[in-house]
Amino acid sequence: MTDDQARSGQSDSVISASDVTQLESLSALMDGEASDMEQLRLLRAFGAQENLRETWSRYQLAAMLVRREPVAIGEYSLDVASRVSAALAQESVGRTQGSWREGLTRFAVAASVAALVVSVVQWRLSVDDQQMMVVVTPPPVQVPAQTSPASTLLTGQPIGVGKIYPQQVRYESYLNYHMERASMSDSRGMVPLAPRVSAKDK
Amino acid sequence: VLQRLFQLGCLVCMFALQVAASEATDASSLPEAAENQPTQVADSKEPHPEAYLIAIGQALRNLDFKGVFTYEQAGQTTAQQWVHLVRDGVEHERLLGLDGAHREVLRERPAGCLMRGAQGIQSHLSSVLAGEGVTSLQDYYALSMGKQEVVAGRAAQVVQIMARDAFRYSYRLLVDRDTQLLLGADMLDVEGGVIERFRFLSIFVGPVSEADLDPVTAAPVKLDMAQCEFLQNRKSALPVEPGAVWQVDLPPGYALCHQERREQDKVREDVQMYSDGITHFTLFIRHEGVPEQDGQLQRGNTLLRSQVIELQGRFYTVTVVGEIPGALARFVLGGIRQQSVIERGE
Repeated sequence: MTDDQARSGQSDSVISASDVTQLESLSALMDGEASDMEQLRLLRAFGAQENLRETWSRYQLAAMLVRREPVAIGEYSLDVASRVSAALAQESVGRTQGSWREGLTRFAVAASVAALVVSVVQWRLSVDDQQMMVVVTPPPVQVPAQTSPASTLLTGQPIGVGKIYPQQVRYESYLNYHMERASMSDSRGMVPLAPRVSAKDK
Repeated sequence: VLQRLFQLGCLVCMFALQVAASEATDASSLPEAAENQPTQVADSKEPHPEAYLIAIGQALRNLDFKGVFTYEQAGQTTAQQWVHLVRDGVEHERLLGLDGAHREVLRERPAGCLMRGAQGIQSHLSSVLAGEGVTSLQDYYALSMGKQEVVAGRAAQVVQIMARDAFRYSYRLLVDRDTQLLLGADMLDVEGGVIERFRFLSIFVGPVSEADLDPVTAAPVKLDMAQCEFLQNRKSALPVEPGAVWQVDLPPGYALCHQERREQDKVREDVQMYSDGITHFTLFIRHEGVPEQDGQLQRGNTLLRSQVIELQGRFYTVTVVGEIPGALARFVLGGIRQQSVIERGE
């Protein structure tokens, strides 16, 4: 359990004054008005703070309802969220809290039931061993407030190193294709390649 | 005033063109200003931003230099070393991370080494300069001279390239008044916030030893001649077929510069590159039979956004990549219409 998660667990649904600005940003994010950098910052922040994560989930659900998105609501949003909750609750019965085996089980259950609920996944690329932020939509939904690996996955904390998704490999090739060509027409020379040599390991 | 604006726009186009022109095997058909000759702008009584823009690219490719700069992005600052030297018409470069992951990238660029996308950008700008184009950079960026600042102990001139809409980023360049090397650059979002900052802390401009290019890490990434040739190898791509070009609704200023059809993992992909002269992005259209999840990814300020669309009963995974604002990515992904009919033989 990280410090952030411990703190968010204590605060539960209380929105502190310091969160007001982030809530405003969240609103902008929902409206599609936030810049990309702001989106990434917020998504990271939501992953670390439970109250913001839950607020984000409620906003997303409300937005889906307003937009009358039948697929989102019927197939993976409300339904899957409740199934994930139920599955995790069932898994937790009679088990000792804090066991890594329990965590793995929860991870597996959540992943199998609700792969589409994965909202923010941050991993280290084994290909180039550099950090990237990957956001897989559809957007997050209400998730159980537990600090198991399952919720860790769902809230944007780093997941297991070495896990490679087919999309990830293709995205990597797309990035290289574009950057190697565009950098030949960029007045900044090699500067656009700077993130490639400076990304820090975590 | 309009005439002046048009002239400024053309000059800026020439800046972008000269970047590509310096890589061309045959630059004889290019305008004089785009030829690969040093341009002294600091001595001019009335320096214009266009002159600096033209000179930056030339200095970047013709001068030997070695320096350390800071790169700040997403709240993190790292230090890197950049070595650049030219031997027998071949550019040799090394970028070395001095902290963090401590990685390095090596690049060799022989004269005439062009990747196909860059060739397309050059051709597009050539047509604009020849009066065949219908757009001007000045329509999409406001160019102006800023104050003088000191960077790495050297006098630097600020040149501002401010986007006129939310579909491209703005830039604030710091150009060495003596050599016209780029000493620093800020990338700005639509609200003027700095989203990337690069600054030389120290730089030596003059003869650089080839020993300075020796790798210091165990596994340097090489972007070298072999890769350049490989990427130019047309055998790796399928020939363009009728109906291969997709119609895309775009914000003003962007034009199709390159198109190819290829196979990746046994799935057909159409690749289309676009540029407004300063900002470039690439669109990948993957002929998927099965819909997959949408996705977004970011490396530095290069954004990748992907989603599945359905056209005429078929699913396609469409992905846009570039140092572009999210607004542009959304615009592009929402504007893909259909494949146009191309006459055979074009």
